[in-house]
Amino acid sequence: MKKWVKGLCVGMVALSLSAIGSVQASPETYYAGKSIRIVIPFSPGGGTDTFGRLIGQYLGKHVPGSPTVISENVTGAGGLLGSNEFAERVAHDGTTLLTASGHLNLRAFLGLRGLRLDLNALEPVVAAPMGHVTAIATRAGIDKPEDLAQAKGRLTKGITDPIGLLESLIALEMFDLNYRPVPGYSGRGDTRIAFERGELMINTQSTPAYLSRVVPLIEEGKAMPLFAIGFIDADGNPVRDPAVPDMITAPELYERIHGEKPSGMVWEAFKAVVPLVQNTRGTLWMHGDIPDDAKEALRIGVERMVADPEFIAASERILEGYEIIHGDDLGQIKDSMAAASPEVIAFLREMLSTRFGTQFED
Amino acid sequence: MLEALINALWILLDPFRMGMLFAGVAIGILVGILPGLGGLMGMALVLPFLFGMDPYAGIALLIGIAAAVPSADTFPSVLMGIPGSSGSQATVMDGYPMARKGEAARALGAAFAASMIGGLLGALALTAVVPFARPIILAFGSPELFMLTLLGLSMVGVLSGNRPIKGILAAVFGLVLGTVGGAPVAAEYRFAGDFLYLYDGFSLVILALGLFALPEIVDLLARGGAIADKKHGLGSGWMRGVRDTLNHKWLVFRHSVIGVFIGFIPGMGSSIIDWVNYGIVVQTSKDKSQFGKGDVRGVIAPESANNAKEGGVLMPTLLFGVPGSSAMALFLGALMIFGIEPGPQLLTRELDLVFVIIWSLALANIFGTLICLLLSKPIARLTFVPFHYLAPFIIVIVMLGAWQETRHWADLVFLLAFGVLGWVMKRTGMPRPPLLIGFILSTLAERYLWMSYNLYDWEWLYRPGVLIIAALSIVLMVAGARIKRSAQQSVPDGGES
Amino acid sequence: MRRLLPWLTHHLQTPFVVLILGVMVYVLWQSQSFSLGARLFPQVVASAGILLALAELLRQFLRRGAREEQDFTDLASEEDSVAYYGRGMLFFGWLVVFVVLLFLVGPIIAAGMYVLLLLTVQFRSPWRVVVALSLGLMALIWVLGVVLQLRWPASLLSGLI
Repeated sequence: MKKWVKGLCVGMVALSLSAIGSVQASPETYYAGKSIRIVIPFSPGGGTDTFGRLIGQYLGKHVPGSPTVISENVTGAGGLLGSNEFAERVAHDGTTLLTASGHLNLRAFLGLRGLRLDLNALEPVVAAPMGHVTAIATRAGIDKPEDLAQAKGRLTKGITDPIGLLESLIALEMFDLNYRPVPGYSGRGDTRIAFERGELMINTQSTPAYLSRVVPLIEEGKAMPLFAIGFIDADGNPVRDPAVPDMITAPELYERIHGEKPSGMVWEAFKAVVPLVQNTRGTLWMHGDIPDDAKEALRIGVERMVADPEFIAASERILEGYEIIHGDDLGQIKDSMAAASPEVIAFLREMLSTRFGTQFED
Repeated sequence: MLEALINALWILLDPFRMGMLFAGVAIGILVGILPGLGGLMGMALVLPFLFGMDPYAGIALLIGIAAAVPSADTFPSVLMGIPGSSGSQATVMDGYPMARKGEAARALGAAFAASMIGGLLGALALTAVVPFARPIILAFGSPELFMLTLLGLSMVGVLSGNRPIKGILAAVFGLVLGTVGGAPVAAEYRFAGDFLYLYDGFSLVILALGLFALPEIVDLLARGGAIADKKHGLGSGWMRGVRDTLNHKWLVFRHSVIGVFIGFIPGMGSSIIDWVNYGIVVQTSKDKSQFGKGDVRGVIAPESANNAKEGGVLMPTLLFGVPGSSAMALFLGALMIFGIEPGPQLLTRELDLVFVIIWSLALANIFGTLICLLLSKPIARLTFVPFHYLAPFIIVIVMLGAWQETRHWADLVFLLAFGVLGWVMKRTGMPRPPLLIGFILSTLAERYLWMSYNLYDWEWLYRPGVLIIAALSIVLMVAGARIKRSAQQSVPDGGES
Repeated sequence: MRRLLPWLTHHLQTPFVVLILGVMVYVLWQSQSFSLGARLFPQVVASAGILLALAELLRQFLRRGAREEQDFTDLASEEDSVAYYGRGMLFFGWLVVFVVLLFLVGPIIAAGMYVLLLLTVQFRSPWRVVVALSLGLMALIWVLGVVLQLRWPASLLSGLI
């Protein structure tokens, strides 16, 4: 009985304190004794999975209350089953988080058929960026990127899932290149082997994969780098890829060829797609309507985690030369989505469905 | 090179690393024995422990799992006719009839001896072909891969026996089942409606368990008695099985090489390997009358190949960073955690590491098969226990194993549906292996045919690789038919008794 | 009816091939609505399947009355009687029982109950053995669940608690 009264008193004090917006004790205790489940809608082993597991490994230690963190691969239907489970069938109390890849975010953003993940209802907890580089085979007969339009031969480009390559497709679109899509590849690794074998003429890889696997081909004289996709800053201006700072980016190359900055619908689409894909190569999402205490506890946890030297050492290899995005910087993810007009989304959906037959939710 | 080889052995002989290797072997044996679970599951289990672990120890752990699974999955295949994981489906064909005849121990002895030699040859092959691996892998473009799927489909002919129309019909039915779900060359989902579960198509594990495991369980229960027929005496003789394998040295060698080779080619997938090897051994044997009734060669061939393939699938994984199987995809993830970048530079800059992998593979194979051999004698006795005592265990484990596939209720519904399908096929004399082969190769055939056409129009038909593989499949088919005819002439009654 | 059942069991192959033929026709018909890339392969395969199924039906008609010849492919060697088919269906029913139990009470209790039910109701085994096996299986499933970190379906029972 006494305990109960005491508890009530403490509760009332806490309530009144939080009401006047000063010290709030509960983020410290929200996760005490709880466990956090991180849903990874991909099979184990991929880049996004490894990112999710890295976070899962270190986040628990740093979130106040030290919750147990379990990473769970919920595979099936190309990530749809796991994403939908997170979107529809878990409690919104901060005990379930989702690890998404940039391309999964893009699918949700464009409204892929069957995917019921609404990014507007989610908030990012932590994210990691990754750039992409496009290369061309020397057989195309050009010696500098500016001559792209004069490339000879059948410009084959391997297609996996078109949304999974959208940043490279939209860049080729910007140069108005008449390439021949070859669908059927099962992943970017597959297209890289085909590029190495000479089946494909144009190939886009993530920057780390470019550095380790395509650069040797360039040294052998079989390939030439065309451009990095590059990043887009908060004002919509192109920025160099920090992992390949010397490489020209697609918008810069456009300016060099045409003498003016890119503009129009394709450019708007580029500005919408590129930040979303590249800033969120791995993103940990929480539901937007979880208790504020949970949000605060996760925020504190992430801040402590990124300062932990052990985490920094472990993450160095997995982030492959990029910096983790946390705290206020996470805002840019949702800002870039908000900046995209409905016309841009309609344009992208139209392009994907007419060229590749991708089906979207109505 | 030799120095690195010895150096790598010293690195691995560290007690902690050897302990990890043993742990990996133990996990591999456990998930291998349990139907429905496989190497992917075992590796995913240890993934969280890899952060911060010594890379060599972590690699020993993972390779231990990968190497032990194809040995241990022989237990359910031989003893109960249940494919233990997707790599040991063909072992069911002759291993299980041997168990029914009371020769379970012999079948297991032969299988494990073949596994060990095959695994060691796989590790050896990995060492020997390291310098030539890249050009060979690069020689297989989409057209060549398409021809390889045709070569695989041509195995249907020999696996259909006296009922070619039924066999080919079953294969075509398998091809049709394989078209369910996302189309490989178009962003479209076929025959799935709004049922997301079907977007990925049917799962091979569920299909194989349904077709082979459930009908066997049902028939054993309906018939009553034990798995093995008591008339044939008690099942000892694993030494005899080991001798069988040693007597078929050439067979073991040939199928290990084929296993390594198919594993080697990225994009073929490793689940077809045991069927191709089973098909080849039937096709090239003079006396086919005992296949399917407990011919030990039908156990030796797929078992040598499925352990040897682990050496093969490591090759594209290490050299190109392209996984040869889903378990290897996970291995790649682990390399990333350790900060190891796959690629040809591994061979120049980190040769030690490559040899640690090879040594782990070799040692894990030896330990894994030895443990399995020791286990085989007591476990083989299970085939003499009245089956209804085993049945609830097997049913529960198969169902719960199938549930781990995607953890969706449809896993179990389709398991039951495929069970009924398999049972009806068994009753009506429609061979089941062709259906499985058709299913495995369906997506590959469709994908590589479209890609070949898109890349080269019809010019791909004249590529030298395409012509060579076409010639090879024709030779295999003609040779099979000729041997069959001469065997029929010498034994006019066929094998019927 | 009394003559229909034996006929069905001896000639189950005919309705089964007709069923496959039906599936092939359905696939061919359904795939008309797909885009070219998704359509071509199922169409070709289903057409081949239709031809093969018709050829097989013709073969069965020509060889009607003859028993299938056994060879190394897996034609079942069990008896071919109505009673056997009935038993087969009965045990498929038992498989369904486990799936239902699994979703009702979760894996561990379901496993224990299943052993009890199957061995007492169907096989009338001695109860000591049944209890021992039941407990043994429950322990095994529990240990496997912990060691392999298996995840189970959400059962109705756990939903109630």
